[in-house]
Amino acid sequence: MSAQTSVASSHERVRPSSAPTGWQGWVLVAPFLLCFGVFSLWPLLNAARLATQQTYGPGFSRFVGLENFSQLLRDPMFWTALKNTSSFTLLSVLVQMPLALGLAMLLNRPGLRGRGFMRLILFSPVLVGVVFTAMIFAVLLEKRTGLINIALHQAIGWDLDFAWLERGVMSSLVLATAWQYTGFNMVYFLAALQTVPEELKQAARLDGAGPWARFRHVTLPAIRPVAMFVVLLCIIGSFQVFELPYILLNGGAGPDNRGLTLVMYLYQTGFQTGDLGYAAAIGWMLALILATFGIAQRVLASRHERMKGGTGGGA
Amino acid sequence: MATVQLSNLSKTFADGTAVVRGVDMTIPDGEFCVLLGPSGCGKSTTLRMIAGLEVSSGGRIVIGGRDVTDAEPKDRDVAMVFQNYALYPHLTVAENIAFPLAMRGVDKATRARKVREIATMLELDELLGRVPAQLSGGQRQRVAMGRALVRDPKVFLFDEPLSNLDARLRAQTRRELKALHARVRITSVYVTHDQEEAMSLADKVAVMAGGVIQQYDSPLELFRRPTNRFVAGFVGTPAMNFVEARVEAKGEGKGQAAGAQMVVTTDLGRMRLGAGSGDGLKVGDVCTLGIRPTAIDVRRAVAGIEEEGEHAGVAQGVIESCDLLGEVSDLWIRCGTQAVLARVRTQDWMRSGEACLVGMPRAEMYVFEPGSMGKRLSGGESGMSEPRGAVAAALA
Ligand SMILES: Nc1ncnc2c1ncn2[C@@H]1O[C@H](COP(=O)(O)OP(=O)(O)O)[C@@H](O)[C@H]1O
Ligand SMILES: [Mg+2]
Repeated sequence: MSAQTSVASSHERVRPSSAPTGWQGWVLVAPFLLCFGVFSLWPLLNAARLATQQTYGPGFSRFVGLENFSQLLRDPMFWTALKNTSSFTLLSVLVQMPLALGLAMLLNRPGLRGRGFMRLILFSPVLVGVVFTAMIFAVLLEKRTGLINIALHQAIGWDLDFAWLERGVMSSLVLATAWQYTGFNMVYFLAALQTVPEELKQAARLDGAGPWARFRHVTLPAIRPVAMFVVLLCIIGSFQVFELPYILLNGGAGPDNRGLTLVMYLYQTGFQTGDLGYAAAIGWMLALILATFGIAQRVLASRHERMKGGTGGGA
Repeated sequence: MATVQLSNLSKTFADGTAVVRGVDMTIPDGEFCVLLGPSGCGKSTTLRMIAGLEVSSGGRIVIGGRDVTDAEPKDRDVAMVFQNYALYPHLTVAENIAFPLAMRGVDKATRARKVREIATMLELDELLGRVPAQLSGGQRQRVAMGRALVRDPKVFLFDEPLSNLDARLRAQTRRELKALHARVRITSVYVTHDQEEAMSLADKVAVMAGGVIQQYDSPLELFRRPTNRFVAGFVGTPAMNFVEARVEAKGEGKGQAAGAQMVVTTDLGRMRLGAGSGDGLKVGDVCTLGIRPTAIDVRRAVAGIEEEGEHAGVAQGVIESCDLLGEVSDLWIRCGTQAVLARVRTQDWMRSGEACLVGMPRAEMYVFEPGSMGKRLSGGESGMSEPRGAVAAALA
């Protein structure tokens, strides 16, 4: 989505002939600058300042330079949180993306009845919110009475006493998140699929392309920008995961910190231990990681666009 | 190379609308056939059934002696050029052209050789490394042609391939297409709603309306002897004039002018038509008269002169608008309640507001049964109509 917008603007960048000059322009953008400054820039800078302090609650702080960061890199808890969050993210992408795309392709079949209704049903989990999702899955994942153990027991003789929230923490988190967000991602894919020109698919059929070749050569290139954007959304969302394990694991990180995520560690240091400076440093690490993904997506998207219609690959 | 036979081909969509109804036609090997008709008449659907992109609801499709009614599109050995070209946006020109070969497992060296051949033929050599977004409309069109040509299909299908080009490029591409067909002689079915395009390209034209083929003939036959009022009105520019008529007298006697065998009353006044006109009509019957704008004589009105002679009738009118095209002009002339379009040799006095006389040569009159699809009863026996402005000029 963001990729498409940037393409459009770079291709037809129009300069209005009577652009406001000087102070007029500043007046027009002032409301935005004000809000951005107060609610984004200032907290961000403040967090940067905070990351260089050692604090004990809001009252006491002491400048320590980059000490917080170097301590972070030596902190095994931080690495556990980073590892957990990364594998949660990776698994979420691997589970949600194919599922969402597959569902979207099913719903996109021509002549399908009740498409709008099914789309709403699949989309609705994202509307109920993460607290509700966590509660549903707390019930579903229960030992003897949980639907998941019962179903698995009947299907493959699964152990009815399997404790998901102790021995399968990561799977539980990935599953619950997938339930909540797959439909949301699917809506993006569905919208993208609907922009794939019908003529192109038909041309490919006449050219002798089978279903897989049509997917690879027609569908995939057409939905690529949206797909990359959805993957980015999924990565950002997954890296910020907090509420779900917090509720599902009763405010803890699960056995052996298997459910400890970056944001949960940030929360624990900041609001339970009371070291806001260290927490701010964790926040900055998280921001750094996400910014890297964001930039990577932009680079990939623009390279793709150059290939598709810009200056590269020419004669 | 193959003959295409459609027999009783029909298509009814899921919503129950019958879009193509019993199409029967044979396109001989190597011929260029155009499906012509107004938008929504079922041309594309017919073409897509030949391609296999649409499943037919009835009838058979035979290509080169093989019944392909139920065959997959890729197994029919047909290639199609789409209205929007349908090029693969992420592939280069060379890759686009090679795509059908790659999908059929042709080896790389052969692919490269074929692409070079096609590129030379269509003058695409310079563009092989570009992607479609870097091409102009005309170049994209040629790439689409190349992709269709590259695998030597038995049949070429075109769905309004020129409609996205501007007028000049369209005319040029039309000529190139014609030359190309003359060279490769692949059986072609070409869909368009533009009758000029149809007339200039086709060996034979099938005029469609309401999912039915109205007439399947050579362009000249369509023009001279349209089978019904619809074809008469659709083929030829500018379109034929029509006026409703009622038969007042039929056969010899009653002291009519020499040669006049049927007298009708119309909004353009009384007309005396030639012998053999209006086959099967009786006194009191209604019918439709037709005359092409190029056949009408227009002269400056001179009070008291209203001779008929070779004309079926002469009506008094006033020029409503005059479109100067150069050598000729298109005049919209109001004659009472009826407006008549005439294309005549341009003369100085022709201006809106001028009174004039509108002469309708007897030999140029068509008679149709009433209704928009009314069958042609007479007309078209003589040769082509020509602008008769010279006659008018002499009289003015
Ligand atoms: N998939 C479809 N379902 C229902 N009606 C259709 C479908 N495709 C086309 N039609 C209808 O069939 C008619 C003929 O369409 P088409 O063959 O595309 O006409 P054209 O002569 O303009 O190419 C149109 O009225 C169109 O609305
Ligand atoms: Mg069409």
